[in-house]
Amino acid sequence: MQRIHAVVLAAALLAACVQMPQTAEEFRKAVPGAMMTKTETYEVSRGMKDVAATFRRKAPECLNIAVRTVSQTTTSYQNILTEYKPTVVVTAERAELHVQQHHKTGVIYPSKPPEGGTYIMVADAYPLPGNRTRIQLYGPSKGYDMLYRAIRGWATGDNLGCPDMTKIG
Amino acid sequence: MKAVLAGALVLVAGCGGLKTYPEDAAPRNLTVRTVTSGVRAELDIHSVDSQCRAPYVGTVRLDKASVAVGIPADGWSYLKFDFASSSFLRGSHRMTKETLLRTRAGHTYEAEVTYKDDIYNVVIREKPPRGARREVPLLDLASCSK
Repeated sequence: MQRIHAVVLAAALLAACVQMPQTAEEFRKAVPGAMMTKTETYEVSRGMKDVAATFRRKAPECLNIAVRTVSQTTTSYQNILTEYKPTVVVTAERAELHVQQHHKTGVIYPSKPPEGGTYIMVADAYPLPGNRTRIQLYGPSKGYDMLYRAIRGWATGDNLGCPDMTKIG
Repeated sequence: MKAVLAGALVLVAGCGGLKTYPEDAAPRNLTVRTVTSGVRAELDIHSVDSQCRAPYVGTVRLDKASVAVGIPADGWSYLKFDFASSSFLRGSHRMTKETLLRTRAGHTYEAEVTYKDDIYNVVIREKPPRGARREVPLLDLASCSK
C-alpha cells in the first residue's frame, strides 16, 4: 500500500514540476534528466526482426490491460482504475515498444496527459551485425522491475511470459 | 480494452462463490502442468454457448504439479487461469490469463502454467491422435463470434 501511494504521489509530483512528455520521443529526451528514472542498455543474440515480432505478439497480449486497486483502512478508501496501453512501431532502423499508463479514477493529473496515458516506458531495439540486437530502455528506476524483466524475456526470446502489473509500485 | 482482466484488491479477498469443477464433466483430455512461486493458481472453466455467452462451470485448483481435467469435446470452452497472492503489506492481488479453447474429439491438450518472479505465462498445446503437438494461440472471448 505504501508503495502504491508513493508511486502515484511521485508521478503527480513529477508531472507538476515539468510538462508531461506528450510523445515517446519527448519521453526519451526527458528520462535522462528526470527524477526516479533510468535508462538501460543491453544486447541480445536475436535479430531485430525476431525481437520486433515478439514485441508485436506479446505487447498487446500482456499490456493491453486494466488494473483496479482498492484499498481501505478505518479512515480512508481508495479505488484506482489504471489502464495500460502498449504501442509497437517497427521501421527499418528500429523496433519501438511504448507503454502508457492512464489512471481512469482516483488520481488527479496536474497537467494534461497525452492521449492513451502518460508514458512509463519506451524500449527501442536496434539491429546489430551478426544477427544481434541492442535494446535501449527508458523508464522508471523503481517499482517496474517485472516490466523490465518481461521485456528482456521477449527480447531474448527466453521467456514469453507477461508481467504481473498488479505488482507495480 | 480487450484484455486480460487484472485486479489488485487490497483487503478484499473475494474468494467466495467458487465451486469445484465436476470430475465427471467429460473424459480427461486436458493436462495442466503448473509451476508457480508465491501465488495460488486456479483454473476457472466456463462453457460457451452458440451466442458466445460463457457461463461459469467450476474451478480446478492448480495446487499439484499436474492435474488432469475433462473438457467437453467438439466445442468451445473459456478458460481463466487465475494467479492470486496476498500479503499483509500489499493486500490481495489477482492476475488472470484467459483464453477460448476449441476442443476436438480424439485430441488431447496440455497447458503449461507458470508464475515466477512476477512473470506469468500460459501455453496450450494440442496433440492429435497421430502427429505432432502444436501450440494453440490464446484467443479472447470476442473471437468466439468471428
